[in-house]
Amino acid sequence: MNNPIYHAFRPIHASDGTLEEVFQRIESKRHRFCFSVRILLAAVLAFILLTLSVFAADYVLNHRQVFFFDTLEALAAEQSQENPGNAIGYAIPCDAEEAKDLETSVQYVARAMENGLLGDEQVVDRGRTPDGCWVIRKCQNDLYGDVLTEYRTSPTYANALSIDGLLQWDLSALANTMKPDENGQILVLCKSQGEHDLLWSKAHLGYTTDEGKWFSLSYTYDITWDYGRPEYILSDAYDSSEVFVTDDSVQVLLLSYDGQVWAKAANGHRSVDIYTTGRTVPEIKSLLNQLSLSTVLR
Amino acid sequence: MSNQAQFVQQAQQYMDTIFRLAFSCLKNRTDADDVTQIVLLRLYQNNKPFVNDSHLKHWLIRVTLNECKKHWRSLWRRTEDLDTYINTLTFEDGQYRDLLQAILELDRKYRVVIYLHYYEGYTIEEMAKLLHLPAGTVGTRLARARSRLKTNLSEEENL
Repeated sequence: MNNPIYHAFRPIHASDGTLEEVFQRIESKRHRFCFSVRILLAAVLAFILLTLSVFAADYVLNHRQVFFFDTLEALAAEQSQENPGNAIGYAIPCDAEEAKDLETSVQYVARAMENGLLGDEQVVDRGRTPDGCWVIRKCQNDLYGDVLTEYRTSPTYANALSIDGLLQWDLSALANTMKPDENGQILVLCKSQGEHDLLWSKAHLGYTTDEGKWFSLSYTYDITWDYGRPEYILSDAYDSSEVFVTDDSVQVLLLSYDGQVWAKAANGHRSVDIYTTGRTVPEIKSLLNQLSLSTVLR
Repeated sequence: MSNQAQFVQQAQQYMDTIFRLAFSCLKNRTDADDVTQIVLLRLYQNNKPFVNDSHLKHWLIRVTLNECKKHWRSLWRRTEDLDTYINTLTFEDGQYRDLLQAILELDRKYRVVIYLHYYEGYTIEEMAKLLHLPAGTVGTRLARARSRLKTNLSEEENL
């Protein structure tokens, strides 16, 4: 070819190693791809491990009682050992269906009085008032010796509970919103036979909600037994479990499970228990704020 | 023929074309080498079949021009003493060395059309398709390139 420009460019050639360089680049790209795949796999693995760790941590945090102790009962037992007399008992709650077959304290005592389960040979006096009745029995108690136990029923207890020298409790917050159970208001007083000193007292008050559900309140006083201020166990065996502080600064353990609510508060020799199938936790909190627990548990 | 063998054959056939075009554009041997390798890598990775050699060559020139543009836009461009490189080349006659130097002194747009027309033998219409330019523009560039080359060469003779 006589084209001078052709001859000017002709000596220019690509470097000898061009093809080798290209193949090296191809290999390098393959390695980079493999490296990228490895990085991607490592990232996916790290993500999975991180997710599992988060789930594990979440499980441990939410189930730490079960996780660190074989059972919740074991946890309760340990707390009882560490703080004897201060830890409340623990039990797996029964569900609402099972609870229908259970007898409340009010129902039991009413049935006992009605059926004469107390034992006639021990009864020293019994009688009727216009709106209720009483039974006094004499018996021997391992702890208190000879005692007189007085069982009294009166519908007035549903509105206000009064025990001489011990308690003046306005319960209208309950009576105004629920229907007091007929024959369901019982006060039990245990006194020494000689001096008639009050040794212990229990009040069981029953109410029915508009929907026909239970509400029972129990008050207990015992000169020997110190309920202390319970180290409340918050148990995840329940749907909810919390320590609620009332407006008058009383700590109440509030548990709910399958439509049932339990409330428990104690101070020294006095304790208050509530069980209901007809009130929600927020409604119970509202009621607790109206019950002036600080005056009852002082 | 395996894909790799076919690639090697195509690469050996066209790597000088690619390098010369890249060198014409970039005026730098190292950058031209780099562009040549990238274009051949693109050829290796290319899955589309080529109708014939002409189609393949057209594709390679387009890719080379695009890669040169990328290099041209790069902030980091290597510099090289052109005379040192040109002195390593073996020309049939000393006048061709002067001619190459004169071509390389032209603007890039003139260098490319000079190379494609006089070395690769493309017509103005073919160059217009390769460069995505109107044929008139390519024709003007070629005429100006010739004129400036002539001026450069006569200046050198007068020196």
